[in-house]
Amino acid sequence: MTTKKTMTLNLADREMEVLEQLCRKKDLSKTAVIRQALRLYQMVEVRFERGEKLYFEDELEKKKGELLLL
Amino acid sequence: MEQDVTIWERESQRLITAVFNDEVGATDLAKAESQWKPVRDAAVDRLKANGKSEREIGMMLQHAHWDWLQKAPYAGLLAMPCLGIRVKEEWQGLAMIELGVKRAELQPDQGKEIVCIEFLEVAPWNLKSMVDKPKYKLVGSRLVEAAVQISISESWHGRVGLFALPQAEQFYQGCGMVKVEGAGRKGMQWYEMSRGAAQAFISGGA
Repeated sequence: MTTKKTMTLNLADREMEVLEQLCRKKDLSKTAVIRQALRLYQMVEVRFERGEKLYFEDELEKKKGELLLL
Repeated sequence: MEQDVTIWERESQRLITAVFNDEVGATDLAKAESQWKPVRDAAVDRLKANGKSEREIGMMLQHAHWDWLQKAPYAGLLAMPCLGIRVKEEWQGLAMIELGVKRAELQPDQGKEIVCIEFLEVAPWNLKSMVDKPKYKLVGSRLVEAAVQISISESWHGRVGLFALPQAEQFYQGCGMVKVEGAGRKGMQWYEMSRGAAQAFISGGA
């Protein structure tokens, strides 16, 4: 399998708190959450570069909002 | 990264060493497609010559229209790793998986992340439905094993799922996956390997 490299990650208290919340909610390690976030970020970036858009839709409220990335 | 894996060579009736790669790129996909397409097309032509209709052929060879070149733009995305097994320069099987997009249906992990096998194909010369004398066996199983190992490395306990073509359902059942009623789409059933089934599968119990 793919070889892995180790790095130190510096997070603010609030960021660490959110990371730990996600770990508990998803039953995942911090590394696994960060890797999942990186995959998602890359996927969104690549699809934006292709001219695609990302929407959040609330079927019950009949609301649809485009997510804009800076 | 590449590593050795064993597959069964039918002619010599022995296990041989092949190469597994979990970072198959667009160039590899193009090469595999160029190797496989003529064999797929020849199988379709044989059925046509035997009087089979397009519809019958579509039922008998449900993935004959697959084209890995079309999947090449996704190769390189972290969320969609592509796995492959080759013997020398000849690709024997490919799988494209998707990480963390689908969710598990089976308990005790319902709603949790799962490795979804989006596409899995073994080379047409390894399929009885395509050629009279298939070359290698265990290629598909090794690719499913790799998906399970990736799921484990993601802390997802080996959970794997996929939408199975009808022709492949028996194979996935043999891997220890179960059909989840009501979760299918477009004529394909959702099959899932629970954490327990994954453990049994990789330890040879499935």
